[in-house]
Amino acid sequence: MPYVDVIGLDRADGLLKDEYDAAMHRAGRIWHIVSLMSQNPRAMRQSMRFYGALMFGPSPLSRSQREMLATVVSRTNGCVY
Amino acid sequence: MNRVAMDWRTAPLAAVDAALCVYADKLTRTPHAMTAADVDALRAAGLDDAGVHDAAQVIGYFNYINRVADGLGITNEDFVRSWEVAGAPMPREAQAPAPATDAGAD
Repeated sequence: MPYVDVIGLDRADGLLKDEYDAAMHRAGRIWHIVSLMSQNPRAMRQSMRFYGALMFGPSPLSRSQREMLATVVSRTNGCVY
Repeated sequence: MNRVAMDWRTAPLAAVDAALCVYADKLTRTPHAMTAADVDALRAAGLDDAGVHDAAQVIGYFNYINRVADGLGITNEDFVRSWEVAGAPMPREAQAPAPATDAGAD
């Protein structure tokens, strides 16, 4: 289990509920990396927006290259998720 | 992509992708050691300023999000088979803190 309390969809209201709804709309599910930020919905919102801009916005790097970078970084850090 | 996840150093990659992996690895492990030569290598591989910028940001982002995930004890999604289960040993450096060494060991 995570080391902090994760506020689930059933308990979410206000900004957190809005972010969960957005996450469901984007992906059809709430990924653990999203709900892990439930303690700070404002940070969650900006983090997700930043992620969207970087990984899906116009770039000289292809989607595949950006995912490759994500993979190399995560592997180097030993991040299993 | 699976080859990259296992070991990008031996995966068959285009030159620009190999250069991106070298840059990503160095920036992740030793950010203090980055120099203009590291970016020159990306330019030599064909990236322009915008591409170099985006590479740095994506690398930075995943370094940030890895730490958030591991710092807060993220759990894998139900359907995911982790690298360890799939047979890829985790990097030794990631298994235990590296002992202090003189600079230049890399």
